[in-house]
Amino acid sequence: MFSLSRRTFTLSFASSLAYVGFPKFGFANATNQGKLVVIILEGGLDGLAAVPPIGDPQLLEYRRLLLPENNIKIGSFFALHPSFSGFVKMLAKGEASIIHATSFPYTRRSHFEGQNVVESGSINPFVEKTGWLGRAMDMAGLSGRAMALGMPLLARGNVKVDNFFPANLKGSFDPTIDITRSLSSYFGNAEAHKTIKRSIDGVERKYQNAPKFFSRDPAQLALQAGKQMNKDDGPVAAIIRVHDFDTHSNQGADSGQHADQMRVVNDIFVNLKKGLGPSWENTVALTLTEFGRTVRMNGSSGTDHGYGTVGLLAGGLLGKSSVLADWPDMKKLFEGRDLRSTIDYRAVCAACIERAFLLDHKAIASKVFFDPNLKKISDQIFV
Amino acid sequence: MSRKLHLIKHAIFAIAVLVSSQSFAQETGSLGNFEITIDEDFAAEDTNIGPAFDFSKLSIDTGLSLYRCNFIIRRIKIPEEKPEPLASGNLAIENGNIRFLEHKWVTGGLADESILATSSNLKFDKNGKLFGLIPVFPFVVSVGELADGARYPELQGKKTPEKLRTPEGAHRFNLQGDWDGEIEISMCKNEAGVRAFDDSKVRYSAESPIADIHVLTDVMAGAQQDRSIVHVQDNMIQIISANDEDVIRHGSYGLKFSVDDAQSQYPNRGKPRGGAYLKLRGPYMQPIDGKWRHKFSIFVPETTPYIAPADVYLVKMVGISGSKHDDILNIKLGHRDALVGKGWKNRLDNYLSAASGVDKNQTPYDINIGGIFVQTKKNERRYNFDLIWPANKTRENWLDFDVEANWTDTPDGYIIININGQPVFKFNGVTKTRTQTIEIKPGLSRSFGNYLHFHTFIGASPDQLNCFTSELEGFASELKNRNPSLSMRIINFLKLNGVADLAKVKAYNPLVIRQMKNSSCFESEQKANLPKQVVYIDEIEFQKTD
Amino acid sequence: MLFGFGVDANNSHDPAFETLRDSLLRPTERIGIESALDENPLPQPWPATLQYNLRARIARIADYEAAFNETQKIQNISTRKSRSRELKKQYWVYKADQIQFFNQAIYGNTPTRERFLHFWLNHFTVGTDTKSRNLIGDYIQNIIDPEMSGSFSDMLYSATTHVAMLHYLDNFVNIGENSKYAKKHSREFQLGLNDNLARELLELHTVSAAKDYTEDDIRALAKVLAGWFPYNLDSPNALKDIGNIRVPFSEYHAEPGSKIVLGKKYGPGVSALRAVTDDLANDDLTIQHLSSKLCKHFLSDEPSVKQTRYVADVWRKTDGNLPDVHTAVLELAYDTETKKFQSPLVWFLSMQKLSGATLIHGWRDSIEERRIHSGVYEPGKIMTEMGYDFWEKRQPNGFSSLIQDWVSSEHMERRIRLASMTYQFGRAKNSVDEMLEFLQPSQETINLINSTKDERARFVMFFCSKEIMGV
Repeated sequence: MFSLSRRTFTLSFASSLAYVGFPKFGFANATNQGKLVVIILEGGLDGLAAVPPIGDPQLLEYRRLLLPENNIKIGSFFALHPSFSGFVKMLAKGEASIIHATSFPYTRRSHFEGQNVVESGSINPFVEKTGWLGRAMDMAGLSGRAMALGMPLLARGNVKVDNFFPANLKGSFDPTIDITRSLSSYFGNAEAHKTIKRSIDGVERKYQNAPKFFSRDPAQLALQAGKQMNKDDGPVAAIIRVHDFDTHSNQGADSGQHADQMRVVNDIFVNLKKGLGPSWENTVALTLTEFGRTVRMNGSSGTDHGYGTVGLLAGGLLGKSSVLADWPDMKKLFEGRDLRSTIDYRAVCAACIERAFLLDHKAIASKVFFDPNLKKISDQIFV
Repeated sequence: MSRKLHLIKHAIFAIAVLVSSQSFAQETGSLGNFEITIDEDFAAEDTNIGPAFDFSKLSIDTGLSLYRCNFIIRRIKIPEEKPEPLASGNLAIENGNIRFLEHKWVTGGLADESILATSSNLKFDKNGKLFGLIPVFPFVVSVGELADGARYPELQGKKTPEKLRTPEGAHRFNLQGDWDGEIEISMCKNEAGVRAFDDSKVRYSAESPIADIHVLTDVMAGAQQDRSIVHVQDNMIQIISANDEDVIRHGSYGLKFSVDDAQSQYPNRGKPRGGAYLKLRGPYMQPIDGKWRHKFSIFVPETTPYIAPADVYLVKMVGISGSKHDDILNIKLGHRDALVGKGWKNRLDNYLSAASGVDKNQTPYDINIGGIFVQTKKNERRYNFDLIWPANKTRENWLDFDVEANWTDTPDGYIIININGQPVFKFNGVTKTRTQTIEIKPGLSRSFGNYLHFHTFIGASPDQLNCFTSELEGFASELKNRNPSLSMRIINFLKLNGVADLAKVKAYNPLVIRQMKNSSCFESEQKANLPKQVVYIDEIEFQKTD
Repeated sequence: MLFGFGVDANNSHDPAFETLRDSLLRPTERIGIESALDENPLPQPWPATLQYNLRARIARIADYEAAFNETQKIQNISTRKSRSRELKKQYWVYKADQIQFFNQAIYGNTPTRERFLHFWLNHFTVGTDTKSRNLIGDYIQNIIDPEMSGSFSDMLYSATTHVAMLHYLDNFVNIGENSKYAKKHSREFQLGLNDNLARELLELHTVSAAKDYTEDDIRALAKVLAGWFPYNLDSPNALKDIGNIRVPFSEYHAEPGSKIVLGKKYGPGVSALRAVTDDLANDDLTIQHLSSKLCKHFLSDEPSVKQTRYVADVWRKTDGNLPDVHTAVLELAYDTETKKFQSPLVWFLSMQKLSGATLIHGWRDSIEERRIHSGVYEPGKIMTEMGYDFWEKRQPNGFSSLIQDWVSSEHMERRIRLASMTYQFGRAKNSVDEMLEFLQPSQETINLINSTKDERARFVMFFCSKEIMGV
């Protein structure tokens, strides 16, 4: 086998993207504006591996082989996976939180539906064409830029968003203004060509307010995004995406595929903090995943698509560390196989939007998540 | 709000607080706030900076401390063994640990000067071998290419020269896939600024004859990749050993630079330029105690003619700031302005000789024309020329140049040039601007400046001259309303001198220059046939102070 | 509407419908060029030496692992490195597959067939990790391409049981809980079912989420699939002869007993899977799902009910005979005025074909490792940069056909860059004027292109025009 280090692993397999928004010029609350980072964990994070409830006797019964030996105890009931060596320091310093037994209310266990649900923010898959972050930023009057080849669904819904993801085509030429301007006026103002025209205009704006150099490694990306966000006129939001949480086989415990991916998440948190510098105090970063994984190990030493999982939050904006859960009885699994979800993760997202973008919860509930009954839990998560 | 939570070993920060019941998803229940207890071992900030590496089986030389060493990090393509510099600068050694001081990455991209300081973990063992982890940005980022993050290769004590027990030498590691890398450490000094180790035994030993020429070694290893050699086509720069045709100064190898007509480039119509030279910069340009020493031996063979109207440079010292290149001091072979006193006609003859080959028996040995000159800047548009070595001693002799300089933007700067031990030139004052970095280009570079800008007129056909004449006349009449005086001057000039003397027209006005540059009459131009020039350069000693 | 990858500007603009349809009937000869740097590269049969059978491909993966481990023992670092470089060239054959894939689309004479091939390759996605990259070429040439001349149910079965698919969706670790193997080894490892392939077979490949199936159905289907290719790709012993086996099924690892999938009972053994896939292929929801997907891919992001129904009707009438289904799509394409945005890959291939450029490697260019400064480009890199790489690790739902997933500033920039690269390095045979003459675009487009005299800008704008991009 190759002696594949984690770094080369993430470089070769995990592509990623970040979304960065910029405060509108003259935005009234610009000084109080918080910053929001969403870390999408694609494939389904195993909440019981990331934050195992070591105080629950059922845990050992279900998944002896998937439990790391070197868990980091964070209390009498919960522990953190050893990959989270940086995150645990944030937890100790009062700037990270864990929400457990949570999920978007989606139980059909399909990646594609699930990813659509968590990004669009709608309960029904493939209904909404825009994403909850895009809508929230639209509401807050923020324009932005996505660092991705395509436009992530999460960021759609805001016409002021364009994207940035430098080409890796050696020998190619930077597009000239002559070409982009001619094309832009050629596509004109017709409704049918609106998106294309906007994209071409974006090519010309490409290098404005964006880092000149750029890596696709998620942890490096987090550092760059953090540095950009720390600037006075810098972005207010970012998305970082990590693939490959879908460990149907050979998930591993202390080390292994899932552990490697969790270490990427840990590094993202650490690098964000490093890049953000003083702005870390005003930031909240949260993970987002389509579902958890089955409580029991499957036949191939992995886990299959499940339901309840864990959400990790970090950033000075939290003002305190907490581990929040309404811990379900693990003797009674959801449909006999999954951890139940007792916290609607949309409420966690809503709380972060509320505090970061200084929006009203009711407005978020009805206009961003289309659910006026969505609970307000910002007071529990934030100081 | 104070968020400072002081950490007491095994302390409990937060006591579980039950909050009002909330209902979510399928379940109804209460959101519990669980206690957080974290062992100090996990919660404590890292005191050991840099990534983890197991040194436990090694005997680290904890007594080793050095004030300052030079280092260069290179990557090396396997199996071609071509090294390319990535970063260079200074480091200190403290109790066997490396601490990086000021340095620069040449890779661009994400390279960040803080990474070596914060994320390396390197220790020397008692045999002067280096172990640990080093962050390296392995790729130079060019247009259209993606920047890449740092790699963290491991050093396992592999080093050349292997027997050298000091920390100096090239410490090798596997960078990634087909790439190896090395960090070369040299010129270690103690606090008093004295060399800690005498490396002459290593560098100048009999078994490694080429190791004594630092730059040459790099050239041999293919430094083109770093653009240390430029304008190289075919065999413009050759690595030679002594034979009947070629000479070397010392050791077994030397460098031969040659430029002939075929290799001269015509980037813009009418302005031939050619060059085969090294670019010494970055790693080659480290000062020692605020002083620079640049040494090189140059041999100009008899067969290298001086082409009268050309600028032929043996060494250029250039200040670079961004994309702006500024000649600070150039050492020239011959100087065409020495011809000025001989009148225009004579110069025209020289143009003709440039076009047809030069009479080497006369012009090169004319003391005022074919010797070694130093060109420095008088003001923005004019230069000073000083003859520093007479023409009759210039050829067929090795000239050992020893340049001592203080490159600085303060008035205490100076440049002193010695040839064969004799002081020949001295300059005192500001030697560069604040933002400039200095690049030294030994070799052979030639350009045909303003005088020969329109050299093709020399060989122009009558039709072509007519073409230029009518074009200039047209231009003059166009100018009639806008700039009547210039218009008049052009017409008068054409009447008096004819278009063949266009070099004078050029002096008139930038408008005229632009007009002539873009002229369609050039389409039938004939290139001047330029003669071949050769110089040898050897024993380029880098930073040799003793 | 342009179909296929456009046409060679030297050929007829509007190829006869019959010609296109005929190309759908039989597998095509593999075509390629030797070197893109030749003055007039001659399309010729792909060299036999670069065609590897499945056995050879699998054996190479295992051999590579073994040989690589050997190189790690070499002390001299440069020998070790150069040896491992040789190994890569020797054992990884996917680069040749990628070049063939591009060459076939550009120089082959059945571009329409190729577009349907891309559709099915995307439908039965086998995105890959390094280990299974070698297999995709075989999957294309021996499963997707030939099965396009037969029925959907054949293709479904063949694709499901190809090693590339079984490996990609983790079926190699899907082992019957009551199998003899599990009984023997249960003390050593925890063995059992893995439902990944079963889940995607239902959700993505056939009936889709519209069908009301349960987790029990998925589990039952996973039991049917248990025992299909239960070998890890880099374990040399298990693999040496596997490529010769027509049906990679191991009774020893299979779940005994009968299973009930979607209310129907299937017996034990190797034949059960074929029975299940046939039933799934004939399920009306599968027909609706795929008819709609075909229309979305080829006709319009929002095809009319009439169009979808037309394809579905043909499907039902012909029992899913793919040449007939494809012909139906073609008929609609000839009939429709709606525009379909061209995916980056189709757009890029059209550009190569229409301009007569030779930017992409021929087989010799790859062997000799020629790069952009010689004027040729590796196709793999271009696919990656366009976000449309069939050889990259990707999700089982494949690439989207919808415009919103392929329009962004960066996607537009890629197109401008790739067009200017094609102009600069690609030795295009046809001038923009010639292509304009041939394509006869709208006056608006002509005005755009004639707004500048810079030939490169004209070239770029031509390929960013509404007609070429399909908007």
